[in-house]
Amino acid sequence: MEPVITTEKLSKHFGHTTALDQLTLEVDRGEVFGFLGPNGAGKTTTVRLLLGLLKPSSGDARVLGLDAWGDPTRLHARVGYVPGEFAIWPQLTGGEMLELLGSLHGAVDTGYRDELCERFDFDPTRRGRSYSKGNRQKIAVIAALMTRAELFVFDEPTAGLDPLMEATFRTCVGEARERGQTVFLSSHILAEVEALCDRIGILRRGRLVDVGTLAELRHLETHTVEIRFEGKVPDLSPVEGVTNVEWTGRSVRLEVRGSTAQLLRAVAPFDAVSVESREPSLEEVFLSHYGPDET
Amino acid sequence: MSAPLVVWARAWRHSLRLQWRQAAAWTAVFAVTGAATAETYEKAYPSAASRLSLARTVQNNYGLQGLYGVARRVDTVGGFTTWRVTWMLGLLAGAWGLLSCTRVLRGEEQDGRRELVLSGAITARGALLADLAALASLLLGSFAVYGASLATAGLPAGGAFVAAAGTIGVGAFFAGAGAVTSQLFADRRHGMGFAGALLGVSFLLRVLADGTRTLGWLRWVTPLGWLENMRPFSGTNLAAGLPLLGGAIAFVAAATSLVLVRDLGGGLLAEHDRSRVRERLLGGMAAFTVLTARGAVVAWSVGIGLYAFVLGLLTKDVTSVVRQQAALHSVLGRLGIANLDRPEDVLGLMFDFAVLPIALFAVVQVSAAREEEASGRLDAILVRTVGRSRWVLTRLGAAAVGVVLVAACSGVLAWAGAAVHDTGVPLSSMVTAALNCVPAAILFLGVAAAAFGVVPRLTAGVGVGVVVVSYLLELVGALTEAPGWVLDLSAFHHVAPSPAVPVDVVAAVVMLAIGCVGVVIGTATLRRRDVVTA
Repeated sequence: MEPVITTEKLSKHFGHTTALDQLTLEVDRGEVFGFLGPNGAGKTTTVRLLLGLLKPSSGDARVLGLDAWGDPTRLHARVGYVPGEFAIWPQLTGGEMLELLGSLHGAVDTGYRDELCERFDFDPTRRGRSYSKGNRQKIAVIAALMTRAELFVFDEPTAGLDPLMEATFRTCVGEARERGQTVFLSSHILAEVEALCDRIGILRRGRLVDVGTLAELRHLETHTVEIRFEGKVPDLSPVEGVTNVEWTGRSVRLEVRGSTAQLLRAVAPFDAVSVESREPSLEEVFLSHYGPDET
Repeated sequence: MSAPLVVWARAWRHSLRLQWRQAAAWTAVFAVTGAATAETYEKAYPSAASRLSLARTVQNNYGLQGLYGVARRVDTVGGFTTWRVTWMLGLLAGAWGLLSCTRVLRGEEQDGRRELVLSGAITARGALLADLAALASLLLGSFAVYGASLATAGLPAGGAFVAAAGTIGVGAFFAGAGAVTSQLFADRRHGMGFAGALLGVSFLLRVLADGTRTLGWLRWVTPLGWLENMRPFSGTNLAAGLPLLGGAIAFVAAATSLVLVRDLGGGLLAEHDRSRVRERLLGGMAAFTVLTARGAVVAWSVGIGLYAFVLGLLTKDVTSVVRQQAALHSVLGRLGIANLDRPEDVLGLMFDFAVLPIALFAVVQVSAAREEEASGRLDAILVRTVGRSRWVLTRLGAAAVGVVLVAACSGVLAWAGAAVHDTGVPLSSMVTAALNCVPAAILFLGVAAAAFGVVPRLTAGVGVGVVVVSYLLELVGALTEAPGWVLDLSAFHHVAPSPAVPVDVVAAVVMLAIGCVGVVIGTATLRRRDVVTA
C-alpha cells in the first residue's frame, strides 16, 4: 500500500535561511503521525509544503499519491487542514464561515458539522471579530473535521483551546483513527503527541533528527537511575554510558545511555539499598535532541 | 525603568518609522507636480497677451473652475500654478492624512500590535499623541520641502510657503478626522471610509462653490475651499486657513478625550457582535466574491456618481461662455483642452477626470486581494478545492465587472446632471463616454495584478503609484513640450475625450490587451510562488 505522505529530500530556503533541509519521511495510511520540534524548527514550513502553499526549493512531496505542489486542488478535496492560527473574516459570523469553508471544500456532512459545534460548545451566531483565540481555533477545527477527509493535517491545532476542548479534540482524533483516517499532527505539546500518536518524528533546525514509535525512540535513549547506598559509595563517573552523575549525601541520580549492565556490575560490590530506574518520558527524549548543538 | 518622556520619544520614533515612506512618496508628488507646473508656465504662455487671454477665459468660466478649482490672477505664474494644482494636491494631502492616521491609529490596534506597545510604560493617550506627533512632524517636513520646491521653481517665496501651508493644512485636517473616526469604529476600513466620505463631500462642495455663479460662499464651509481662500499669490489671506489648523486641533482634542473612554480593540460606536447565520452568497467562490466586493462597488459608484452628477450640472455654464470666445481655443489648447464649444466637449473633458477615480477603484480591488493573502485568509480558501488561478481570476474578474458598473453609474448620473439644464446629450452617448474610461482602468488593474504576482508586498504601492504618476504626467505633461513618447507612457493620454470625439477603438483595445497581459502575468506568477502572509 502506498504511503499517504512521502517526502523525498524535501528542502525549503527563504533567502539564505534554510527552513527545511532534505526531509525524507513516510506516513502510512491510518496512522497518527506526530511531528515534534521546538519553535522555528520548520514544522509549519513542512505543513505548508505538504499543502502546496509553498514551493519546494528542491525535492518533492507526494500526498495521497498526488504531487503537493503540482496538483493541489485535487489533493485538497481529500485533506482537512487546521492552521496554528486561523485568520477569520471579521464581518462573517462563525456559522457563515463554516458554511463558506464547507462550500469551498465541496462535500460536507452537515449533520456531523452540527454535532461538532455541539461537542466543541461553539456558538455560530457571533461575528468573527468577537471570537476569542480559542473560539477562532474551534472554527478551523470544526471546518476540517466536518469534511471527513482521508487525511488531516494539523499544525498546532489546540493552540488556545482550553483543557476541556483539548480533550474533545483528542477524542475526535481517536475517532478519526478508528475510521481509518490518517492524521499528521505537528505540535510541541508533548502530552498531546504522547497520547495520540503511533509514530513520531522529531525536527530540529530544519532536519529530521529521529523518527519512530515512542518505544523505538526510547530504545537508545537514556534511562534515569536513582541509587541509595549505605556505607561506602563507588565512583560511578568512569562507567561506560553513564552521565550527569549527581550526588546528594549517599544517594546518586544519574543517566545511562543504552544498556545498564556496566552500571549494575559497578554497583554490585557496594551496599545499594534501593535502585530505581525509569524509562524516559517523551519530554526527556525530546529534550535529549533539543539540547545544546551537537556539531 | 525609563522616564515617561523617554518611552514616549521611543513611541514617537517607532511611529515615524511606520509612516515615513508614505510621507516621502506624497511629498515627492507634491514637490514635482508643483514645481513642474510653475516651470512650464513661461514656455506655454510666453507673452503677456497670451497670459491675459488665458486669464479672461478661465476666470470668467465657472464650469472650468468647477473642474480645476477657482482661478485668480492666472496671468501670473503663482496664480496659474495655484489654479492648476491646488485642488488636486489638497485632495491628495487629505487622502494621505486620513490613510496614514487610520493605519497607525486603528490598523495597528486591529492587528494586535497596539496591545504590545500599551503593555509598556505608556498610556493609550500617550501613544495616540506619539502617533499624531510623528505624523505632524512628517507633515511639517513635507510643508518645508513642498514650499521650497515651489520657491525654487521661480515663485515668490512668501506665496510658495503659503500655498504649501494650505495644502499640508488640508492633510492635517483630515489626519485629525481620521484620528477621530479611528476612535469611533473598531474596523479600520470603516474609519477610513467615513473620513474618506468627509473628504469626498468637501470636494463636492468645492466643485459646487467654484463651478457656479451663486454658490461661491460654499468655499467658506469646506476645507478645500479654505485652502482656496488663502489665495497664496493674489492677496494672501492667511486667516482663511485658520479653520484648517483649528479643525485639526479640535479633532486631535476630541480624539485624545475619546481614546480614554473606550476599550482597547473596541470602537465607541458599538457594532452588533451577533447576527443570525445567513447562507446567501456563501455557496462558492464566485458568490462569495460578490459578497466581498459589492460594498465597495456601491460605495465607489455613489462617490464617483455624485461627482459626475455635479459636473453634469455644470456643463451648460462652460459652453455658454466659451462659445462667445472662439478665439481663445489656442489658449486652452495648451492645457490639453481641444474645444469647449458644445456640451459634448465639456462632458468629454469631464470624463477625463472620472478616469482617475475609476482607475483607483480598480487597483484598490487588487490590493484587497493581496490583503486577503497577507491576513492568512487565503490559506483557508486555497487548502480547499479552489485553485490559485480560479481564486485570483474570480477576484480580478469581479473587479473588472465592478469597474464597468462604477463607470456606467457615473455615465447615467452625469447624464442626469446635464439633463437638468437640458443640454440635449443623449443617455446612450453619455454611457458610451463613461464606458470609454473602462479600458484605462483595466490597464491599471492589470499592472496591479502583475505586481501582485511578482512583488506581492508592494501591490498597493505599485498599483496606486502607477495611477497617480500617470495622472500627474498627463496633467503636467500637457503643458510642457515633453517628447511625445513621454506623454504616451500615461494611459490617461490615450483616453479619447468621448462624447466630444468618437471612442478611440484602437487605443481602447490596446489598453485592454495590456490589462489582460498584466492579469496573465499576475496569475502565472502567483501559481509559481509561495503564498506570502504579512
